[in-house]
Amino acid sequence: MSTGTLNISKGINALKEQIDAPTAAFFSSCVHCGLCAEACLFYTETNDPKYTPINKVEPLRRIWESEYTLFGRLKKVLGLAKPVTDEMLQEWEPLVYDACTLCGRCSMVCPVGNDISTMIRKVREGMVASDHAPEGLIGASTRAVKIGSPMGIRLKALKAQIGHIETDTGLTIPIDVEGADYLALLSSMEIINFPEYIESLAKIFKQAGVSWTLSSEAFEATNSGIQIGSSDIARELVQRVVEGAEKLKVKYVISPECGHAYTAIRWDGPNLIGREYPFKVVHILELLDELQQSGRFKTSGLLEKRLTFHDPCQLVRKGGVEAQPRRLLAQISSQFVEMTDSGKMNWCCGGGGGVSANERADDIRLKVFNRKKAQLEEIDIEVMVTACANCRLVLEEGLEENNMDIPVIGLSELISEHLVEENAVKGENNE
Amino acid sequence: MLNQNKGADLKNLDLNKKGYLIHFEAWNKDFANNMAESNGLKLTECHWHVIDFLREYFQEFGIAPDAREVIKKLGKKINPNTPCSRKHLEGLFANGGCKLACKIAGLPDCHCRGV
Repeated sequence: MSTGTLNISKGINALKEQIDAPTAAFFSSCVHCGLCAEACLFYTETNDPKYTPINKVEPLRRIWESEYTLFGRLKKVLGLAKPVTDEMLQEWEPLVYDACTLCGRCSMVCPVGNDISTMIRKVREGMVASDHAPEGLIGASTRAVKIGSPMGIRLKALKAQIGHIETDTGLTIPIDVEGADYLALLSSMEIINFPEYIESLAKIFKQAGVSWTLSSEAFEATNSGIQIGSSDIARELVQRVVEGAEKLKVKYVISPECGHAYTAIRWDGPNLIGREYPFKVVHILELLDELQQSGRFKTSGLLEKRLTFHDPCQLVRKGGVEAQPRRLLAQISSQFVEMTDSGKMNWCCGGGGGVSANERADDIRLKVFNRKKAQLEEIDIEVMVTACANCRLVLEEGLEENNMDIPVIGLSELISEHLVEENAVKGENNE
Repeated sequence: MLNQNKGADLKNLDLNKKGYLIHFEAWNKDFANNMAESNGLKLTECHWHVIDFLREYFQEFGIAPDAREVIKKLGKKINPNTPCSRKHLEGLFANGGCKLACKIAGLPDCHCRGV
């Protein structure tokens, strides 16, 4: 048996394993209306019907039909069924990896309630098993498993950044503090591109009196397994965080300004490892909102520039974190404007779900950025705020490509810039 | 004996399968010039700013910086009059971009993307 034949049979088996009751119900419910096409920026910005979300799951549909429906079995017996072949998976690979950010917008519009985005995630399991994942994501997943970070970041890099922050600010960044209430996770991009996030946490938590720590063994929040579509890798990466949190006996784990990390640790995690966590998971925006509502930290001054908030798909659609960033922004901004389709129907930056890690997808990613560009042109803003380091980098690149001079800032960072100086808070309390 | 062998290895300018220098410490300017030349590139002062930065950054963080970091730190040195863009940086190391820059700077690997 050749390797190719072996891989395709592994792929088909992996796809078969993905067909659970909801998936079967989704396929039998599809009314072929095509509404999901209009919800997908890869279709709206290219007008190419192959990017219709439901078409991206065709390999899985064929397996479902030929294995789990009477009519499909009959067709198979009569030799009329279209089989899933290695060539087919090769053809579908760019559809499910380069042209889908797992943003979930298609699932929102489906009139019969099919969760198409989750089905595409399932197709990726078959792609991985049959060796049809893109090089960029294979590299990221390999580094995540071997080194602990998709970008290849080791503890040395985190410690170097912590050193810079501590020297520059005089703040202490706690690491491996057993018994702290909160364990803060970080994305590799925050460590390398946006260390301001770490500094912001330290400033805000100091004022709010939050007992927190980082872990030298479990600092990475991102989960390449979720992106490439390998539950085995996803499980291992979640397990590392769980072990790190258990070792430090924390009560809460904070998911950082990263979209898919929240999906991984908050929603998929317990199912992946097959048990409940002995701690709770909160997103940083949920925590900051709670701290602000209870008066644990104070901000002053309103940013007078016109600004908008780009909702990271995984936070708003899959996580329901929608009101929190708006409440937080209301405290520090006087000119907040919503984009059309903001909140739960916001359009993706174009780089989620592993697309930005996949070099082959660069051209289409920049093309579909036209959707975000159109959203921004309608509201004429000066500053863009978001809460996902990957969105931030993708937005920055898209804006640069389109000669749009709009800075993109992380919400936690913006809040920390407006934090009332600690001495002032103490003085006020003493009065 | 073991140490001597180790010392000899560290000066070895062998490349790995992907074409990167195996031993970061073995790098020297001649190596950079030769690597550039074999890729049809003549190094200018501007290239050297990037190469020096790549080496310093790798030394500190253990990974290669992405284009954003290079532009943030060196933008004005690379392009003093207009804002330095990713395209400008890629153009500096034509026919290879980030990967070629890392090869010339003697970094052992470089994936050139954020994730």
